[in-house]
Amino acid sequence: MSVLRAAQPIRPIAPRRHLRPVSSVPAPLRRPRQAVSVRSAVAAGTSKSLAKKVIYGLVTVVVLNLLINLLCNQSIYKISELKRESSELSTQAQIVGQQVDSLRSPQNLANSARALGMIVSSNQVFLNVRDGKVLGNAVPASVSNANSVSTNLIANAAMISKSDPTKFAQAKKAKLELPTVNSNSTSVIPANTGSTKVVLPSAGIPASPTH
Amino acid sequence: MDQDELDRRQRRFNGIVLLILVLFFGRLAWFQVIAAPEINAESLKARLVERNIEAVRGNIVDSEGHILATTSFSWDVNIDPVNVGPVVLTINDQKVSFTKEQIAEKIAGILRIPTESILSKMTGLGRYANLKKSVSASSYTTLKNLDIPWIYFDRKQSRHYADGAVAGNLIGFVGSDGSALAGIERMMNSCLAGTDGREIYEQGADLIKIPSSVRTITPVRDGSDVVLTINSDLQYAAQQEMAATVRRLKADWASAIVIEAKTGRILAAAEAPSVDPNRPGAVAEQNRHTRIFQSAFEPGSILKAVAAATAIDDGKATPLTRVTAPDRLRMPWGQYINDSEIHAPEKLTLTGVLKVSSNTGLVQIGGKVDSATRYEYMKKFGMGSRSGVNFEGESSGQLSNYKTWDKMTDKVVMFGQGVSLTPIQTAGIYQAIANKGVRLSPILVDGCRDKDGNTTKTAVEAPVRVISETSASLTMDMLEKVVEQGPIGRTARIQGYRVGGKTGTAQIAEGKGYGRLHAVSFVGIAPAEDPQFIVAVTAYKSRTVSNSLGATPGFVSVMKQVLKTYAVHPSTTKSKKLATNW
Repeated sequence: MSVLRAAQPIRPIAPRRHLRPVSSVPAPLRRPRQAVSVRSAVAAGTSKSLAKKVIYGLVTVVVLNLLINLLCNQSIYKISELKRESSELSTQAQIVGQQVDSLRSPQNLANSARALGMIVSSNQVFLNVRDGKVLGNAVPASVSNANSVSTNLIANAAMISKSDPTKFAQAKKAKLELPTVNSNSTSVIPANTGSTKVVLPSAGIPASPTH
Repeated sequence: MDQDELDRRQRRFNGIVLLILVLFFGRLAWFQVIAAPEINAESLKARLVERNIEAVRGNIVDSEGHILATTSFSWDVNIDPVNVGPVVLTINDQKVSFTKEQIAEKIAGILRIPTESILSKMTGLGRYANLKKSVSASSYTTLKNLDIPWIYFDRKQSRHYADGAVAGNLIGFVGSDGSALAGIERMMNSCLAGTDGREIYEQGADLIKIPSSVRTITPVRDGSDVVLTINSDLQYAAQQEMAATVRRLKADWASAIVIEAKTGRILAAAEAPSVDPNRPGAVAEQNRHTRIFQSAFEPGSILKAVAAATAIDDGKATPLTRVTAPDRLRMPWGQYINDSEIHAPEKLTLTGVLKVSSNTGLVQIGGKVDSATRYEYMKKFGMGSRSGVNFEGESSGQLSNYKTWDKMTDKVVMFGQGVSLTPIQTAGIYQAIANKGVRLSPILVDGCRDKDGNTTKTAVEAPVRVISETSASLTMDMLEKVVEQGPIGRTARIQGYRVGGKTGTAQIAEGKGYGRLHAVSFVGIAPAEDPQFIVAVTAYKSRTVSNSLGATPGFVSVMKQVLKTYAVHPSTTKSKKLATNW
């Protein structure tokens, strides 16, 4: 309102303006009203530019407010979408996690070991790495001296995946095709160590050079 | 038209406009000021949603941090019968129409339920029919990806026990509604459960939650983890062995306890048959319990170690105290105490008495100690009171006051009749002997660990000095001779290690007398020179082997696994020389 009033300085009833130019000389304001003074005309001009600024300011604020609201609203939908995605992914993680749990359950390990022809050794033998001493009676495990139980006898309804023993043979074969340590070398370090470098894929975790 | 008329019309027009303005302004003021609170409240009411945030139940982990019980999610699959109809599915980018019967068949395949039951639920004008409860994540995903508009899901928490029946009898289980029903799940419920939270938020017309509007009424506090002292690998090995023992002996059940001598920590408490907490209904009701803590029975000769240790500690005997042991000993009041076999009178030392497990020899030496003292020792060994574990539904066994013992009971308690013990109490007796005469409260639950990793340790009862260190050491020496030379004891030998132990073949009370079947057991300690582990094996109602020969193979196997797991080096010293005969 005050902006409009400032634009009409010759109206007989001079308003109490909320916005007025700051003057170092207070006297002109108290002059008789009948004449349009140069000073008040200047003041009106200043008020006009100020009014413009205020209008621009207000428009900017409204537009910004609108924009922020818009962005906010979009973010809300984005958050909601991401939450849904996160929930789906955690469901996937649960499925995969339970498969891993199944595969590493003692029941699956016992059955897999048995399928590979492994026997539980009944002898406790320790090798002291400091002095190379062998503690205990080092006898190879055999069916006759093995612990009595090797087949799994413990129930597990949570076991949703099992290892496939037929794939073990392939895994073994694949392993044999890997480069081997030079048997003539007296060193236990593989001969080709020098040429091996750590491969750092762009995806992240460095691939180990270990064979 | 003159100027006056124009002015008048102008004024009238201005007046009407002003009136309209005033009316509009008034109405605006009405909405904005007077009715505003009411309208705002109504609008807010439409937007506000109050909901419960379910606390996630904590895990149960073993001593190595391996998760034995955890919370996962399952889904209830429901349909909206009134909207059931044909469905158009996109298969390989092509739209294919399916009748509701075809869809029912598809659902039946995924949920593994009969098609007919689905079809019957599809009919009707209801808005809800449940097809299946607690469906797995993979079935849920498959079904959800079909995108059938009239099918909907309710997600809920469910318990997942990745290792199945491993430690199942200890862990216990929860009901389909998530309520803790047995074992650690029930005993430690206050640690595991957590508290549900509550929040209020505003939501948009499309059910979108307005983030800045969320107000928490009660913050949700997820459950904490229960940390057990159990080593799940050892537990599995022991359970395997017990399952094999039950098969071999055609026994009702078998149990094996592994206790760390110097700490009282229970490293394994295996039972067979054992419940798989994922499916408690799959085993008979009597196999869903924890016999190690809940079943008390007469222990038999296993208890002879108590009588011998008491006599030594009370200064009434040494390992070399001599006795002549007939196969049948007449009591002054005319009743007889018998040995398990018919034999000529033997000249035995106390060590010899334990070695051949002579009842007649034991009552003569043990009887030198008065009843009141023997009773006190029995109490200090933990008999007649629950172990410090305070397991769900734990039994205290039975030890009646010596004043109520009749003449015969006064004698037979020395070889384990007329009293009853749970397997954990029996193991506790040997823990005291192994730990230089100090009985420790056994520990099964290490503590309750919150999400920040702070563990509240389980309160442990104070240690009890039962016998002196010397008496414990002498008792240990005698127990070693049982395994070195005993007719059955020697089947408990472990190559390379010094082992001490005692056999037990207990008659099982049936009606007024004893039944035909036995509870056969063996409790052993290794290595004898520095006792570290106690393994107590019991097989209840063995039908193929009627003495401890049924229990020793299980003992040997479990103890070997223990020694391997904890890398106990073979013994380098020899046992003390102790005469068993004279």
